[in-house]
Amino acid sequence: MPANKLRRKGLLGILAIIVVLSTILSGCNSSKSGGKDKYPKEVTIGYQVIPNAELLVKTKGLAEKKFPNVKINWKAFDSGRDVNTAIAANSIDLGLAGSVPVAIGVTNKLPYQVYFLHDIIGEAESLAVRNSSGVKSVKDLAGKKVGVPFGSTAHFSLLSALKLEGLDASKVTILDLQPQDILAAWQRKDIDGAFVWNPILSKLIADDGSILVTAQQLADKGSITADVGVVRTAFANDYPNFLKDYVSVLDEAVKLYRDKPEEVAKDLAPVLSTDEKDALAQTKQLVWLTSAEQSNAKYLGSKKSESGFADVLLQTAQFLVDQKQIPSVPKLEDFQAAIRQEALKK
Amino acid sequence: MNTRNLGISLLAVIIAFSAWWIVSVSGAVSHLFLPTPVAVWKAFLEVINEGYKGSPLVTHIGESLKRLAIAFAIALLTAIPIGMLSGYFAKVRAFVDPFIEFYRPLPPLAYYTILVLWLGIGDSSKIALLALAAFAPLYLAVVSGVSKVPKDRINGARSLGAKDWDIFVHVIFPSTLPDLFTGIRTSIGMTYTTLVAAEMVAAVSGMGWMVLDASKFLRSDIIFVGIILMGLIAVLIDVLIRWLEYNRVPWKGKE
Repeated sequence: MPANKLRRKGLLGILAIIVVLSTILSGCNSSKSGGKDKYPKEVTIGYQVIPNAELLVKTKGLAEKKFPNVKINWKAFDSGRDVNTAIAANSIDLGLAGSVPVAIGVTNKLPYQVYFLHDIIGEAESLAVRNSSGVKSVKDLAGKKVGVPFGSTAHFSLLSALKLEGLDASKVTILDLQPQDILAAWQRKDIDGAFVWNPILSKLIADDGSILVTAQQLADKGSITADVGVVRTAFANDYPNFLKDYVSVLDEAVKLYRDKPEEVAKDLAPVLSTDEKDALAQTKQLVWLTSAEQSNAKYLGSKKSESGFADVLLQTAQFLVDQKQIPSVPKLEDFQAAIRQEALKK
Repeated sequence: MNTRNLGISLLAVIIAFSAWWIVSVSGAVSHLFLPTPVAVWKAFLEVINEGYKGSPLVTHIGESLKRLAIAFAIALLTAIPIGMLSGYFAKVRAFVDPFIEFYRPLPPLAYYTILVLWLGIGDSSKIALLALAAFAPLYLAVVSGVSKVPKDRINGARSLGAKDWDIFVHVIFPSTLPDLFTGIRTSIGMTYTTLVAAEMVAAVSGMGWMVLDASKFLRSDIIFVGIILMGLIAVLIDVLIRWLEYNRVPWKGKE
């Protein structure tokens, strides 16, 4: 066998890498430009199926109604990790990611800013344990197997819960599982517990599970997790009016939910692949806030320096460094700079 | 070995490496897209010295290779006899083919959750996924190898008094070796590309998992380390198989 054929294969590989990289790079330069007052021709929104205002906006077509001349592309994502990658590759303008992926993104200087908190995770993410596993408290988890999607808000919450109870994370077998695989592993009794969100969470509870700790309880102790709306900074600079009006659409959805939660649950139920009653329960497990409420210093604040959420992101990043998930944390000012208050109603 | 061509290959690698170095150091591209060679080297030293997420680098490589080896051994032990039978007896082939043709083009991730449900989140489901990826190309290569054996050769052996079993062992098997080795190389390649998918579920070790986990935390430097390592190991495996082929099937291409 001639050895040069093998080498030629290697050369082809390198060429392929160069082609891929140059495609990525050329993608970065194609940022759209337009008048400051106008709406863009096209907007790509990366959403996730989470029972919050943005899902309601999409389901009811509120954005299409508000912006009849803008083509709105909805792209579904399963995790904040993919949203981060999509933003980095310039493929989406607006996106929804958990506070943990956003802390990771800001640490890695992704060109995006937080413009809205889609929801504060209350009881929607919880640590469920199998009743027959005999786990009654977090401390009992020592030596047990717990599944969680790594790099998610649930992962952060699980590690926070262990830390708060003084249980060393190395004493627990923590497995990297996506939600649907958590369900599979649970049904096979491969795992004793899981920190996960709906709809999987409610399926675990229905199958001999009970809740040990909720994200709400951890938030009360200072470990807040949230689903965050992020916008590409360049897009927000080009189209400040679009962002402002989009936030008003989100506000409209929050108001709709507060006025008629049952109707909203009916709209969302098919999207969440569940029935109306369960959809209502799921929406209640998340805290929906209007933009006016978010301009409170506790959340996004009205000035860069007073945003409580920048502190949350900093703490999250600090925690991830302690867990050796990321190498280092930027300064508080960097997180404050990553919060964009202009679109909020004051 | 042709040293003149070796020089060209070396030159290409040096050019690519220099391009990487210049582009990443110049700052024209975010380090998230393209970490500098120095950063990748540092990340490499970091995983060598401290390991990655609690396991030393050797463990990650060892775990992946162990899964690959077991899966591949299963594929060898099943695909070769089934492929031989299918190649020799058209009826066996008619029985087996629909299943192979059905699952072969399926993306592994499509049925992975089913495997997890059947076999659990431990190593068995990972090995099963890899073994399935390895089986089809190997089976097809063996079938085609058997059907290519010249009829004269079989008849010749028979006229010399060979029984069916002797023909199988001494004529058909050696005659399929060249195709078998081609099959092994394709098969290893297929298995290798499935490695990352296999280590997606409930793994806390393995090269594929390392790259996946690093991508969750946007650690481009670690991703580069993982990819470069995986590539080098794949080349080494291929070289090893070629060496075996050269030693075991010296007549290949000379019939």
